[in-house]
Amino acid sequence: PRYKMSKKNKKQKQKQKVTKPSVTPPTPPPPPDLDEVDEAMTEEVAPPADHDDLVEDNGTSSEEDDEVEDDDDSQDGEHIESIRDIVVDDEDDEDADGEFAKEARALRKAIAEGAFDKVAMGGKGVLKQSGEENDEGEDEEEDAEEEESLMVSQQKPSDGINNVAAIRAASASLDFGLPFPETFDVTAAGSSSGLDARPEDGGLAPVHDDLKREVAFYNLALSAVHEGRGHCEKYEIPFDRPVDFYAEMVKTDAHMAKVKDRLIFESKKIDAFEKRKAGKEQKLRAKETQSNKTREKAMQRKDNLRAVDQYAKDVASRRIPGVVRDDDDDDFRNKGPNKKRVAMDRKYGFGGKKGRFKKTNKKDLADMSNYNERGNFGGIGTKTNHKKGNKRPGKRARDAARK
Amino acid sequence: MGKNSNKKRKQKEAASRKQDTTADAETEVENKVETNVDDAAKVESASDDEGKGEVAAEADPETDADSDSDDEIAERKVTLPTPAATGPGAGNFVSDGRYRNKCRLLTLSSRGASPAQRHLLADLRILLPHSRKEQKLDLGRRGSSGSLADALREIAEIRRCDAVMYLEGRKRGRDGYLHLGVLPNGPSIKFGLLNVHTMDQLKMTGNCLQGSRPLLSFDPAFGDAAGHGGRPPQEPFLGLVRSMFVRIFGTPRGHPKSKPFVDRVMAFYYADSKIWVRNYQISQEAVTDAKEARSEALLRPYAEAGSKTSLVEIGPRFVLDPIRIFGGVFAGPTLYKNSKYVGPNEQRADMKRVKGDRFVRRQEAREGKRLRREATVMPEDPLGDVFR
Repeated sequence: PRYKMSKKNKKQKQKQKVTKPSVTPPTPPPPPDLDEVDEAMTEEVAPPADHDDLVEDNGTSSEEDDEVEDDDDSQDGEHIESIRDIVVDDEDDEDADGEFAKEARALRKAIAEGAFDKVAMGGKGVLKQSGEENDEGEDEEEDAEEEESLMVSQQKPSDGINNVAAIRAASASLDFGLPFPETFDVTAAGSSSGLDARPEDGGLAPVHDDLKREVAFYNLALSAVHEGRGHCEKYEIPFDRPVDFYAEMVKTDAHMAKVKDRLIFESKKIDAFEKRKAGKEQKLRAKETQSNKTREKAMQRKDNLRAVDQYAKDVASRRIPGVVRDDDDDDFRNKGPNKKRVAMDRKYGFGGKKGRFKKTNKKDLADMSNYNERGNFGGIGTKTNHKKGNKRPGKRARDAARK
Repeated sequence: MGKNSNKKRKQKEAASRKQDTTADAETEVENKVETNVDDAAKVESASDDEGKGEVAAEADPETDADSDSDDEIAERKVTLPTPAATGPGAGNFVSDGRYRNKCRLLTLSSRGASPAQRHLLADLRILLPHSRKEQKLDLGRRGSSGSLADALREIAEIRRCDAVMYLEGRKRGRDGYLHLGVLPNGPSIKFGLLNVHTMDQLKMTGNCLQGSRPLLSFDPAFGDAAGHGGRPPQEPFLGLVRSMFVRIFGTPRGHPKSKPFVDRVMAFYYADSKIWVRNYQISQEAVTDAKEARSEALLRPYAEAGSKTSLVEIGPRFVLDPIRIFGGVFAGPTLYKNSKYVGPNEQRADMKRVKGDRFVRRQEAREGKRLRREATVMPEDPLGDVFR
């Protein structure tokens, strides 16, 4: 109502401006009482023609329906004095120009109170009310039909004309009694398509369900094709197109390529979706299975070691010292520490040889077995023949062997 | 023809002429568009629709079928086509593959059709090799003959066509109507065109030979084929519709532009009081396993084993809502008027009314609330003064 009020004000304002020089401006009306709203408003408000602004859109207009409907009343050939008249000023209601603002406020208040309800409902609402009430009473039982009746208008008691005799005569004039090869006219199998039958549980007939409808259509057409093929066989009309019969088709190759692309795209989409779904599922399960596997492996390893130890124990318990049995494995006997380890220990470990290698004793001190009286050594530069002489290991080696 | 006196004949002529105009006026009023100044006068006569309808009804049972056709001849001054010796009407019609059942179909659209409707017509022209294309019909421009019937008849006579398919688009393509008519005297039907999907939609993957004769498949509701006796149609007018479709959507045998094999099936169904139209391609595939082979063999015992028939939709697909059937060429007595038909304007008005009702309901509720508030007297709360 606010917008429409501003237009009304504009119209009044413009009318006022036009008649200004000749007619003294009217005094602003006294603020109307709420009780006297109806009379006051009907006096002040513009002529009845403008009532339509307040009434809800009633649909009929004098303009042609073909044109775009727009609310351009302001341009209806009214006298436009200045650009300010054309410019839509929505501040009409709120500006300091009080003479119309007060009216506007009062009118708005009146509408809120319900002064114009009769007008609003009087056009169509009243009639519709009674009609609606009647229908509601009936339609309570059939909810499903109410859905449909929203789409289709309520059945007015419209007449139909069905001149059966004339229809038959007309169709007879059309039919020349042509045989099948001329007409290719085939009836699908069955007594009815079954699409209009509403299920007992309620709900819509299959016609309104796209999938069911198309499936039913497909089946009917297929049955008709089979029948038609039979007729063609009888009349020796070639039916199947050979693979190598090339002729112009209804859809061009370019179009069929687009169709193919689309099919590929759709199949890819489906694949991607399924893959994604499967991947998600897999991810959920993967961690679980992996942890299970590792746990199992660890358990197995433990079991294995335990079994080995157990077996060694058994073998040891069965062993009698001095007696070698057939099933006695050398592997399970105590080998002691590793020989290499022991050798290294002697050489480097545990303080080594306690470092007192070069310590002589009485015996070796008095040993004169290697003393040569002649003293003819080779001298510098001469080789000593190691092969002739006594091949003795070095001191360190001798000491190590000693201990 | 000498049966009737001149006076009676002239009365009937006048009556038929009036019927012509009221039929047109009804269609104009239905669409609530006033395009021609003439129609302003015709609108008044629309109120006597009942009277005229009854006149039509009277005319028929009053006289026998034979004399009726004579009267029609007298009124319209056109001779019925006498069946030629080897024409389709003759009893000794020979169907040997040559082009004997001659049919030329005029296809044209109105000026305000939407692109979808125009594409639909283009698709139909491709599928019907016996069609002749004509330019858009602009009724406003044609000063001489203002009515649709006259215009179409004129164009058809110029192009020497037997049948007419006129696709009318109103409200800049929002509403579509399909008019099918058979010349020279034949009946004509006006349908509302709904749910149009053209062939370029990529979801329809089928393809067929251009010009191949389609198999016309009819729902059991259409009854058995004309002339083959058997079951009658669910509604009498469906028989007429079937004959019309066979004439118009069926390609005549031996037509020079037709191709030999049967590639396509054009299927018509009757459901929800409307006629649904689908086009399928008949494709043969190798059978994948023994089970399919067996089921196929049961269905087609005469055909070669090892192939499976399946259908792929080619398009276009649309729904026809029968509005009226006229006895003449887009004019004449109304033979059938669909009582369940709701025009697009009415549908839109209903939807708007529903919206409007919401406002009214809200106002009522507010009013009711206000009254209730005033009416109820709240009892005094004894402890109301305890807290400040």
